[in-house]
Amino acid sequence: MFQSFDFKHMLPTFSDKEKEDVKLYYAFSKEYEKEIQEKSLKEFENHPIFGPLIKNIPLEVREASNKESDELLRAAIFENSWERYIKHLMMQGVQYAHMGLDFKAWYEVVGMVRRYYIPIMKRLYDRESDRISAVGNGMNVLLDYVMCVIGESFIHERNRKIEQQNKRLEGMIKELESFAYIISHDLKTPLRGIASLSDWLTEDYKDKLDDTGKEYLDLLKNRVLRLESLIDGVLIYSRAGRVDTETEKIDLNILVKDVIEMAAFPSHVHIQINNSLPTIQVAKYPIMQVFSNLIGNAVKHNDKEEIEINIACVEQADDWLFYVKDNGPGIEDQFHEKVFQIFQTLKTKDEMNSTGIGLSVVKKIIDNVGGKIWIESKTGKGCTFFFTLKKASK
Amino acid sequence: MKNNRPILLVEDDKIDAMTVMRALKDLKITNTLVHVYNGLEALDHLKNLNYEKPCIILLDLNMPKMNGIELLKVLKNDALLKKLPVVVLTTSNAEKDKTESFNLSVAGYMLKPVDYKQFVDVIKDINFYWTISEIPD
Repeated sequence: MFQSFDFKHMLPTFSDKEKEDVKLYYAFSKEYEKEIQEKSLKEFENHPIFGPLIKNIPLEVREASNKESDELLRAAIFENSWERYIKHLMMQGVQYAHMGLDFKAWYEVVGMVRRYYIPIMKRLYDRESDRISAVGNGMNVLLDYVMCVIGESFIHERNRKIEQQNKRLEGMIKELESFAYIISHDLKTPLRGIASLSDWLTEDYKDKLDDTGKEYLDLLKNRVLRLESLIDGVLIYSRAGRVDTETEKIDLNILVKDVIEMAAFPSHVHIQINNSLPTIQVAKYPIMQVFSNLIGNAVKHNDKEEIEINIACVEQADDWLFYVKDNGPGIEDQFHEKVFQIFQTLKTKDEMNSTGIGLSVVKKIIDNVGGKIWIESKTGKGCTFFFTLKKASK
Repeated sequence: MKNNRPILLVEDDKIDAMTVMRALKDLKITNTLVHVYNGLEALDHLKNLNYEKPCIILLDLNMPKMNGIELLKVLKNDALLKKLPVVVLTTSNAEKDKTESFNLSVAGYMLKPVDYKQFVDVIKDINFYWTISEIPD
């Protein structure tokens, strides 16, 4: 696995003094290894991470592995041949990475070693403070080095895993996108056939059809058109997920005015922008869609003779808080989440010509730039849609 | 159309083909319509010297055996056939399809509307344009 990995930069850079200390520590640890192993076994067995490992690996295997590790360490310390020991440590790092645990948890073992060795050191070299400090220093230097090597390969391996997952995810996203296109294409062809045939029936057989027959054909045509807008909605929704759209500096005062002008609302619709909107770095088309869908919804579902819509923005510490407020019928609490789901509408689809795409697209766009969206509303008292945009959005 | 040569329709869906025929009839366009079901049949037809060359080709993209893009690649590499104007008539709104089509020098790219009346409008506009525009002999 590490054939191509350059281990040279991982060689220890111990000073001569440190090398001697490490040797002293090694000799000390060999002498008291058995005693410490016996004392620490209970703690290891009860440890949430090491306990199960010890139980799952047979004693012979553990002993063989310890023996191998020890031989490699000895060769490294006394013959200055580090290469095999480094590889050995790195394999450990890889294993830990695959166990999916935090490196911090593994680092606890260092603390455990210290806890068991230091009292023995003190007991043994009671009056020889130089000796204590040399052995202690050797222990610290070696443990730090070992954990660094394991840590580096641990992170290396975990990043490799994350990269693999990212690639898989990218592939899945692409597949899903082309899936949406294929679906929309393949569903639309037969749909167009149905629409054409119902048109021709109405036209060519108008003398033979009675009123009921004509009504049925009208209903059929109506459903065909609705299915078409649903298919288009799926496409719009899947496209709204794209994050690769380039951002630019947008003056929202101009953008919102454009959105309102394009919609060309009738004269009983009064839209007011309460304060000056900020200029922010965003992708233009998605943010237009957000305002257009929110304003469009506020008008479409409004039941008053004079429709009042207020738009405003409040600057907060890390983000901009926007709201679009209307004087419409309001939305009951229980539906505040539901309206953001795709294909969810609160009225029957015949009453309102809606597909249940608009708000799901808005939510997806806001989610994608790390913002939040929510509703505050009481039935009969209008409805306010709030959303936030991060100031430092990418 | 500028001349009275036939229109070649390459289309695998029977009702879509009927829609084009009906639209031509409704618009009183007198060019005959030759309908083939995929790219391979289109090539057979175009390479057969017994048939008159079409004034324009209306081309669907998603078809069995040889799709529209594959047919375009063959046509644009053929010294005799590459001058024929090809108008893509498809359901696909995919950017990739549009780019590939125009890279292969199509003369237009039209989306098929679901609504028949809008479909007629599309055919009307195609006819209108190709009545004003010159077409190579």
